[in-house]
Amino acid sequence: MSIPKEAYQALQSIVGPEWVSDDPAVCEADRKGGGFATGGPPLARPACCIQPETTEEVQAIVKVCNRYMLPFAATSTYGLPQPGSNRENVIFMDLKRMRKLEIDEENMYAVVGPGVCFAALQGELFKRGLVTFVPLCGGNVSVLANSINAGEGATGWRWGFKGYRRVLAAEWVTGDGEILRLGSRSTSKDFFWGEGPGPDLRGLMVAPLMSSPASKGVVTKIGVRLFPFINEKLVPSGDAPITTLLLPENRFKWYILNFPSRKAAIDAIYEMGKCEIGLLLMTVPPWFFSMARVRAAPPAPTGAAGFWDNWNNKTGPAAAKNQEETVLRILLYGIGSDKRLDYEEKVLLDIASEFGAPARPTRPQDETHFMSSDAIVSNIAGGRFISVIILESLDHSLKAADIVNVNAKKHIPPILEDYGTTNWFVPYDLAHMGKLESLRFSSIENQAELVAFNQDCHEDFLEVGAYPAMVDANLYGRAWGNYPEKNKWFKQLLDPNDLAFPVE
Amino acid sequence: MLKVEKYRHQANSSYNLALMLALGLGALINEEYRRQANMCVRCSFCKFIDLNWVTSLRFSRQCPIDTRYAFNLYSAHGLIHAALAELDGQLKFTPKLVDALYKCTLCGGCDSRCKRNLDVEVLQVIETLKARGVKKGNGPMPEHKVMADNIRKTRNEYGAPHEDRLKWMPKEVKPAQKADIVYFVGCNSAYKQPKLAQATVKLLNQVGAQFMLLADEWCCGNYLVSTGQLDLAREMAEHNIKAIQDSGARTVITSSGECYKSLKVDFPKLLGKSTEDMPYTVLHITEYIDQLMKDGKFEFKKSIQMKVTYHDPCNLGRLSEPWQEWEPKYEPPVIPIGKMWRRGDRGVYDPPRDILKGIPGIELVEMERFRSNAWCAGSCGGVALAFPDFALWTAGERIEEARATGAEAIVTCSPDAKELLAKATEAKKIKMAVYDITEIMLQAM
Amino acid sequence: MAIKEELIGIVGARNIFEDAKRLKPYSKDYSLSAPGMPSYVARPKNAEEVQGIIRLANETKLPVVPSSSGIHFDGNTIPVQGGIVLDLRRMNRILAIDERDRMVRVEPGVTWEQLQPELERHDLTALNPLLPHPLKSALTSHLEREPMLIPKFEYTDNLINVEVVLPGGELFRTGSTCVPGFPDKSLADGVNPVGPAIVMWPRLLQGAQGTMGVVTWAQVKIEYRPKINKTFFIPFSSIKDAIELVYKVQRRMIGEECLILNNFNLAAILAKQWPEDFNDLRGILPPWTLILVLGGGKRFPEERIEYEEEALREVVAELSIPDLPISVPGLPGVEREIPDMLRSAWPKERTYWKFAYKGSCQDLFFHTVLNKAPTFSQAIGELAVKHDYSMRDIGFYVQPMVYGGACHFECNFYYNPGNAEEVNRIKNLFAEAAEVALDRGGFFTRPYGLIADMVYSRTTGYTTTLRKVKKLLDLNNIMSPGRLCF
Repeated sequence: MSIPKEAYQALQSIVGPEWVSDDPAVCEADRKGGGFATGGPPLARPACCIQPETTEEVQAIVKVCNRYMLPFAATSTYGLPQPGSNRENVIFMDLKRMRKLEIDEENMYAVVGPGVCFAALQGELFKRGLVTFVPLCGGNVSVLANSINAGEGATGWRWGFKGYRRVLAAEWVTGDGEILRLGSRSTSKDFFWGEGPGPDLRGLMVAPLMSSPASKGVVTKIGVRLFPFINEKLVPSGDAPITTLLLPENRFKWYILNFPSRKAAIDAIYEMGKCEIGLLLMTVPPWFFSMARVRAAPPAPTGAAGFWDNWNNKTGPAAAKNQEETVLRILLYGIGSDKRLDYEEKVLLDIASEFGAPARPTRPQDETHFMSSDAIVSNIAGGRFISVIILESLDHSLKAADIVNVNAKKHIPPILEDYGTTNWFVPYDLAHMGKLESLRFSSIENQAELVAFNQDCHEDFLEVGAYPAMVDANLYGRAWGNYPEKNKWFKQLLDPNDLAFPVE
Repeated sequence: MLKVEKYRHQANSSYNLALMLALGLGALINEEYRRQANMCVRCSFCKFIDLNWVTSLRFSRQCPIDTRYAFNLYSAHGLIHAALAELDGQLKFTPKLVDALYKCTLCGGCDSRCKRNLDVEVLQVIETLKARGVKKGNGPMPEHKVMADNIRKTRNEYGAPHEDRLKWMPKEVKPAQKADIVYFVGCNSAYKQPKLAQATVKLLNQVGAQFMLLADEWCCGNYLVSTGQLDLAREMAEHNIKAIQDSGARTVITSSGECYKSLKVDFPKLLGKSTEDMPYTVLHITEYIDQLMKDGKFEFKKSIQMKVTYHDPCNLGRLSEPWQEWEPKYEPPVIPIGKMWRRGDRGVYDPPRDILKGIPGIELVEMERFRSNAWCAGSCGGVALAFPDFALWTAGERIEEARATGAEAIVTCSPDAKELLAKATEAKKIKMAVYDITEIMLQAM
Repeated sequence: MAIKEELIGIVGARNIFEDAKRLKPYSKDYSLSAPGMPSYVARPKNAEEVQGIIRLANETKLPVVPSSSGIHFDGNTIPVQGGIVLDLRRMNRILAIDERDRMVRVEPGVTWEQLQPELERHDLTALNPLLPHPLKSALTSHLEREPMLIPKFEYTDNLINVEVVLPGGELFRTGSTCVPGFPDKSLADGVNPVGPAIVMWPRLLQGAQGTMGVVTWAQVKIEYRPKINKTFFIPFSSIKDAIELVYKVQRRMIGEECLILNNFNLAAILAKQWPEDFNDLRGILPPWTLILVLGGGKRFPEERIEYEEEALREVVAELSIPDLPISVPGLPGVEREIPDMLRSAWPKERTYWKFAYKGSCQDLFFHTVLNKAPTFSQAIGELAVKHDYSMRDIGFYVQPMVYGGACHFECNFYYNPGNAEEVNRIKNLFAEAAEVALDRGGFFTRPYGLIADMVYSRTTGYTTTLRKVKKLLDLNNIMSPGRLCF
């Protein structure tokens, strides 16, 4: 469906004709939805696509949308197929051009536009003895979008759960076209601090991951916290598709620990939190080892063949025989002192011994946590997957794992064989929090079964007072303080015409 | 159904099956095309170089059209989703779609990057989409049709006299009447930069290689393939293969990245065969010289004091991996049976580098995007013909990247890339010498 | 029914005050804010009673001003438009200590004096601000985002979740405490602050100075409390040099508590006998001292201290700092007291350190980046002279935050509250210093009193939106009207 000619002309006058198009192919390529995880139905094809370069241009666009009552949505680096809108006449903003990056080295923060991805920021930071958190969904995703939305990765052990403490001041174009400046940006040009003044409106500045009916505008710039790092270089190595970063061995050491039970692993993680060791750690489900075979060196089978060959013939059956055994990987961190790594290792081995977990060092390299270059690989197994996620305490995650496993069995087949052990635990904030992620695969044709499995889990969760992520408001809403109602309040406050990312 | 079976038999490969879509045979043959396009999870890894190799914001991107142009359509991600919609009849070939398709240099960066994690045949999907477009009258560009016409009439891209194809031969070099090696010259070296052809034969002469020239070499058709003009491309392939066979040579040496890829990959592809089925082996001049060096049969004697960086031409790099004819067959759930993967790591990356390192005095420094991460110089895909400004911009980006290394010169193995890079240095007023590797090698003899 | 009767029906007759004598203490505090009398003081015992009072307030349009501590410094519990002061000190239970998730759930009336010793028994500590008054509510410190002393623990907000009576009277729980059956009959432990769904509620309630609801309990983070410590008191003649060291120390992730005090404040904190000790210390302490505590880890504590000290010495050598003292001149042994002191409330039996010099103190604080701190201290010093206030009498406290990425910058103007002229001078100095700080980029993340007026007049977009949020939550504008920008 087209939009009023006057509206289109107004948009052209904001960004120039080169940066706006209503060509159907352009709009189709910007249609969100599909792909990723369970796929899901594609959302609406936008009526036109536009690429602003500044906050003021975004504001002008949003005002045009409000004048002509046109819904709008936005994407930054388009690393995920969500969110979007299923309304017709969507004006779709691609914020790729907003790629400004400024780094304050001494005070360890960066100011980024939506078009800056984690890998690019990280590349710049490594040259400066600094580092940024990178999420597990890929170093190609937008720093801004991910930080205000998700921001989860194993380095959250040290650098925080989700993006919330890492996001500093911000510029935000609300759904009704006002520019809201948060934190220190509200009274100066600086982005170094995010809270306030007074009540912290960043509490509202949350973008939906999966097109929830709650988005309230477009965030166009944020300050983002950086962290101290080592001076030694992480050296890129290898050629496609087997690439990695080699870690300096005087500063990093990987260990694998084999715990006799999930509980022992969780107990040990709590202890590691109190002892404050490691840069990151997470348990590793057996299928991760099979997933690593996707990029084995020939003549071993590679790709999906590599995964399934290993999973069905070796790792899976072995894991099925001992479903309690839990493998943990921890990266010890020797920052600041030549002796710190030795200290961390000593503490780790002491804990490992106490909890009955043989420990061994592994190769000093990483593909996952500094650049997140191996994200998305899970899709190779079948074409679609779904994750059931608990985001709460580690103890909670432990208990919820049983619920998930029981439900998974009801749907296998056609969900692909899990051998009972496809969960993993990621602790955050030195074990103040933890995540259970429980992933199951299917072929593209059977993805509806994944949805059914997910639904079963959530019905059980509701009964036992669990706190999962990515919930269905219709299921949880009333039980959880009637929050959808409250979502609407804030939505109406900042997007009174309901034009930002609307989903029916 | 019968019609389908007939074409399936003829096609007999994933690539050809997809290309046969041009004949509009319906859903069954579209199956592999759809399967591949559906595997795209919209992650946009195709837009960036391998993330482990990113060292700056400035040079983190892989895809020229994505970097230069506005919309997601101008990327593998966008083109794949347009392809799905077009397949389902929800989208026609609009002006922007054609624009994006023909500005795409088909450099293969997206394909290689996707295969870091997934094994989607990204390039094949884009090529197929292009071929479908050509069939429906959307493409190629007028300039490409002129080129095709030239090739048809004069067997070279430029419309220059066919009989002048070997005019560049220096008097002091005498090709053999009969030899195991044939030197495939290529249009650019034959007509536009004859000194590259001259350097090549002088090199072969100096290392004592016996070689022939084809009596009737035709254009390799590289740009015909990349602009979707497959019938004519097939004609070129068939003729050149016969010419090689008739010559009795078992080894074809070329110093053109484009011709290398044509001989090794496109020729078998067009004929429904695998690289290993071809009656010859293809070597780039650097592979040949490098092997001599490693066998101790040769070394460079003269010193060249120069700091250089090396540009990996796409056609010699990630696009040059051997082609395998494969019938799409899968084990559940999605395991391809018997497929040989082309992920970009088996291109000709090391021989040119080892040669440069083997020349006394040369200091080789790498750009941030190198080997399978190399940024396309803009000369691939026929883009320079139809969109010279964009091609020049792309080359300009590469020159900026070269400048950032502190190198005095950039060396490459593609005459077309060399030409464009040299133009870019002028356009940007950047003082940097641009060499083909044959020139450097000859200097060091 | 008359309001008083209604209130009695909710909290009982013993917990309602109406007479002027009993109301007077609630009409003022230690700030320079003008006094304001409440109409009533009510002392609820639980969330239900709070709800009852809030509902009554909505019916009668009577303002409600929550007050959790027995002591206040910022004016935010003084009623501006009369109404009911909610004295929450009867709600003083430590509801749960979760050692595994390192979290404690407290009611608003729990003081620092009460909380820290209880946690210490479990080898744990809450992340307290600098030497809080013993009667100060620990919950309020978290709600008001008072800075912690240990920069490394800022991976997430240290206020996790709350139960709150919203201004409309609804009882609401944030984050994962919202699940039915929490805490005893649910899987959730209440440690996820996000949600429900797409709002991070605790952030809307923090810094709100009681305008967005009444928090009836809060879950806050606690950390392992080192048993073995080593303290350094590193002297500097200029704050710039101290900051240079802080940057490097934080980049290497060395240490626990890390703070800079000028000699006035350090003397005030350490003096036991007044004024003798204080005067002596002021005479011998360096202009600036960086206090850095190295804490032993839970396992092999001495080894952790050893490698951190070695790293510290490397940094000190790099900067050619001549001295790395572990004690304060004239106070041998104080290094052994400092770690516990910094993890505790001020001892009840001693005059609060901010009152000991002249009886009162007006604090000016804001956030900035460390490398700008010297310009602020200089500018404020110059202003003080202009207002006839001796620079020697200003206390400075610089608290590095988030590995040195920013700092809480605080100056303390000590004054005699009984001297009207001095009070007036301080008011003027304070107002002008705040303007200067704001003009130079100081960020008042917690704007109290007249600073709120200054800040909100500059942040037009933020102010407008905040007012809209307030109107949404508090239709009748009953919660602390007149505070912030409301």
